[in-house]
Amino acid sequence: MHYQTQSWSTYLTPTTTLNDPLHRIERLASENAVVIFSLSGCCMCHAIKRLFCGMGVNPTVYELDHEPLGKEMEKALMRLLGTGSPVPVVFVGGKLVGAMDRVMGSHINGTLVPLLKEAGEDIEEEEDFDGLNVLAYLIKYNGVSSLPRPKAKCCPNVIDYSTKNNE
Amino acid sequence: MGKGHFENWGESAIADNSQQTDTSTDIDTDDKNQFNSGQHGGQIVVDSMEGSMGKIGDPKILRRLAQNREAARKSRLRKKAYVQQLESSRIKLTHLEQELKRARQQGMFIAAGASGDHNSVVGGNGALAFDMDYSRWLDDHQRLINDLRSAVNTQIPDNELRILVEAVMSHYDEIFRLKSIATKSDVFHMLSGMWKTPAERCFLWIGGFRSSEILKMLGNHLEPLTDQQLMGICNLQQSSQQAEDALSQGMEALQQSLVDTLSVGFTSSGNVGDYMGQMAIAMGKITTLENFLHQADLLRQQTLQQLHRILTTRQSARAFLVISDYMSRLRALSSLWLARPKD
Repeated sequence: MHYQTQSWSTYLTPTTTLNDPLHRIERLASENAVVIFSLSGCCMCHAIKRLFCGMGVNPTVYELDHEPLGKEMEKALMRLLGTGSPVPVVFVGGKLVGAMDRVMGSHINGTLVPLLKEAGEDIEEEEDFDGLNVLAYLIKYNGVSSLPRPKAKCCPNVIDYSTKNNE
Repeated sequence: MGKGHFENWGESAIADNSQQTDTSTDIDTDDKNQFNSGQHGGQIVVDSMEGSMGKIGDPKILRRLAQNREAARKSRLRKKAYVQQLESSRIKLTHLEQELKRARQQGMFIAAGASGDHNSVVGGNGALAFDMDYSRWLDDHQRLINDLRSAVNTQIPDNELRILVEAVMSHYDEIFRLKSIATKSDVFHMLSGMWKTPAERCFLWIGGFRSSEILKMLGNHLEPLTDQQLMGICNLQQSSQQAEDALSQGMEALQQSLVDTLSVGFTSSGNVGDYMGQMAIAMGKITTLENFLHQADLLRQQTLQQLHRILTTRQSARAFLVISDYMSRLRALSSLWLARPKD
C-alpha cells in the first residue's frame, strides 16, 4: 500500500482558513488603505496612530485585545516581524510596512507618502512646489513652530537627487 | 661646647639641617618663652651641666646656654612634627585630586556613605561607561570635523572630500550604536542627558537633539539648493517634525500610564501581592521607555542620513560643519555660564 502524496490542502476547508490568524490579518489588512494592528494599552501604538493622524490620514485600527483570535494574531504578527513585540504593525494598501521603526524610517526617507497616495489616501497639501514658492515657504516657516503642509503638483514615487544642475 | 653636648643628650637622631639652619632663629623666639615659663626645666639642665662643665663657671651663662639648647631641641621637634604633618597632608591632597579627576571624568558624585547596593553599581557602570565613551567620541568627532574644515577651505577634489564626509557620517553612526547599548543598561541616565553640558541639556528632547531644530537651524546655510533639494529638505523637516510630535505624544501617554499604575490603591489597605503586582507592571513600562528612547535616536540617525542623501558632497560637508559648530557654541555657552562670577 502506498500513501497518497496528494497535498494536505484537500483537508483544508474554507472554514479552516477563517480561523487562521495570519489569513485573518491579511484579509483585514487588504480591506482598508491604512491598517494598524494595536493593543489598547500600548503607548507606541498610540504614537503611531498620532503619526498618521498628524499626516491627515485616518487609519483603520484593530485592537487585538478586543479581537476574536486576538492572541493568535499577536503570535502570528510576532512571527511575521521577527521582533519581540507584536504591535504596532502597519499595513498600507494591503502590503506590510512594518513596526514603528520601519514606518518612521520610510516617512523620513520619503517613501511613505507615495505609498499612501498609491493606496488612495488623500494627503492634505497646501502650497505649490515650484522653486520660488518653496523658497518663500522656507523663509516663511523658519520662524514658525507648527508647519503648514507643502503641496506637490505631481508627486514622483522616486525622488532623483542625482540630477543636480547648479550648486 | 657645641655639637658634642647635643649628641650626649641623645639628639643625634635629629637631622643636621635643623641644627644648623634653624637653631639660631628658633632660639631667639623660644628663649624669651623659656625665661618666662620654663624656668624649672632650665634649672635641671643647669645642674647636670655643672657636673661635666665646671670649667666655664658663670652659672647665669650656663643656664642661658642650657635654656637655648632646650629651646632649640623643642623647636626642632615641633618643626619635625609640622613637616611630617605637611607631608601626610600633601599625600592626602594628591589622592583627593586624583579621586576628583576620576569622578569628574565619570560625571558622578561619589557620595559619602554610598549604598553597597549591587544594582546601583551595575546601573552606574552603564552610565559611567557611556559617559567615558562619549567623551572619547567627542574628541574623535572634533578631530574629524577639523580635518573636514581644512579640506573644505583648501578646496580639495570632491572624491577626496567625500571620504571625509563619509567618515563623519559613520562616526555619527558610532555614537548611536553606543547610545543603543547604554539605553539597555541605564535608560534613566540616557534620558537625563547628563553627559551633555547644561546649555545642550536645555534643548533636550527624549535623550538627544531635535532633528527638526537642527534642520531649521541649517536652513539658510545650505544654499544654493536645486528645486528638488529644496523640496527634499522641506519634506524632511516636515516628516521629522511629525515623527517628533508622534513620539512626544506617545511619551506623554506612557508617563500618564505610569502615574496611573503607581497611583493604584492608596486608600485601601492593599495586600503586598497587589503592590508587587503594580510594581511589576511599572517595571514593564520602563521597558517601553527604552523603546521610545530607541525610536527617538533612530529618528535622529535617519534624519542625518536622509540629509546626507539629499545634499551634494560639498553641501553635506558644510552642513556637518555648521551642525558641529552650533553644538560647540552651545558647549562654549555652558562653560561661560559655569565660570560666571557668583555673588
